[in-house]
Amino acid sequence: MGAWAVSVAVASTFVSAAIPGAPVAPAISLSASFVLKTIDAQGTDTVSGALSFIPGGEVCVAVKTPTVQEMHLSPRELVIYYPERDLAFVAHFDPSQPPPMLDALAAGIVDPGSTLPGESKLLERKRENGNLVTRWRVVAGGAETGEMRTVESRAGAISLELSEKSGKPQRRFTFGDRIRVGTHSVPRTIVADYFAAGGVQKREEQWSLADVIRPDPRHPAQIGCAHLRPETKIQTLQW
Amino acid sequence: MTRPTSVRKVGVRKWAGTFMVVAVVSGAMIVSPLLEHPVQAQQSWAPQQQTWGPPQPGAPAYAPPPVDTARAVMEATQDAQADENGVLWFFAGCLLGIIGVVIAAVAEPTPPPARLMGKSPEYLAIYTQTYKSEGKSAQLRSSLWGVGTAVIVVVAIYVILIVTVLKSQPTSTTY
Repeated sequence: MGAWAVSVAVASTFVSAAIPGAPVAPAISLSASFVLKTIDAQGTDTVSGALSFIPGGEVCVAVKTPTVQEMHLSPRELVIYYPERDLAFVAHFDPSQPPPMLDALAAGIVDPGSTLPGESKLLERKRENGNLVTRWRVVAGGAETGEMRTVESRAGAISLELSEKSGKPQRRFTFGDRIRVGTHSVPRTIVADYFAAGGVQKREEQWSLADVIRPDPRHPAQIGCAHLRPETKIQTLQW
Repeated sequence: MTRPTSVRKVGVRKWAGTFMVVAVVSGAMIVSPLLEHPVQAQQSWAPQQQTWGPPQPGAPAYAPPPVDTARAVMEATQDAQADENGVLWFFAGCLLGIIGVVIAAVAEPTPPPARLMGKSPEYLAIYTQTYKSEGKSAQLRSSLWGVGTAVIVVVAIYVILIVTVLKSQPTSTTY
């Protein structure tokens, strides 16, 4: 009975740790316009629009090109709305499931160490060319899954790299110059490189943020928050 | 001249151990390709109806263009396979055994929302479905390899122990 309980406890840890790319939504209030370029084997996709982070872990995205779309990410629900067709896809999550997040943006805003599973261990912390270099061993469900290396300046993180146990990279985020928004420092450019198993680069995301402002809390700009109408066609999205 | 019962029992155990290893490895070899492409596996061998061209009279004119559909399937497959944490699921199978496999079969991988930005509704629906299906099969595969490896290691240790015990016992011969 005891062994079964231990197995179930370990199992639940595996489930929560197995879902990739899950930095928590930062509690920040900001609005910005963005351009996202995705480069992969199929070519380059460019998406542009505006986004806003709402305190409480919500993110609203209004995509203007190539397809008009509104995306509302919240801890319990993801809504993707197509205003031109009055069509919405809605996905609901269990409280145990980590909510979906635009991980490149979240990685640039939150403290890198806070995105790791609790059992992870700090391996090294040193100064290099005036920057702080930190190395973590990533441990999830009792098993070591790899390493995270961050380089931080006074302004915020410069780069963050997650690698496999073998040392091959999994994800690398490189942050450009930063702007202060309230108590947070927000990078104006982010390059996110995603690697397949074995360290082969599979995709690069290039984010550029402009007009980064902290909205007036008395008049929050509801950018792209997918407000559905009673007659909106809603499809449930299995998530 | 008869063999002692203990020797016969060890022979049966050895045979059972070898049979188990062969069964697990053969099972993995059969199951693994089936899990490789579940989306394709669901497709029929029958000739597919042509879905492009002008819509039929009365049919909705917003059918997805075939290029978009094919691209969604391809990108979702690649992303799911690349995002799967193979090491973690291997250890889940290795350490938790059948529980790890069950979790791998039940746990839902979630697609990265950035991949859905600016995409058409048709792309979104197909990408999400394919990503989850491929991701689940990839994690199931890794956990099965974990279980298989654990079984082989345990059997090997068991065989080594039996051989060691037998060697350490004084041999009895019946004439």
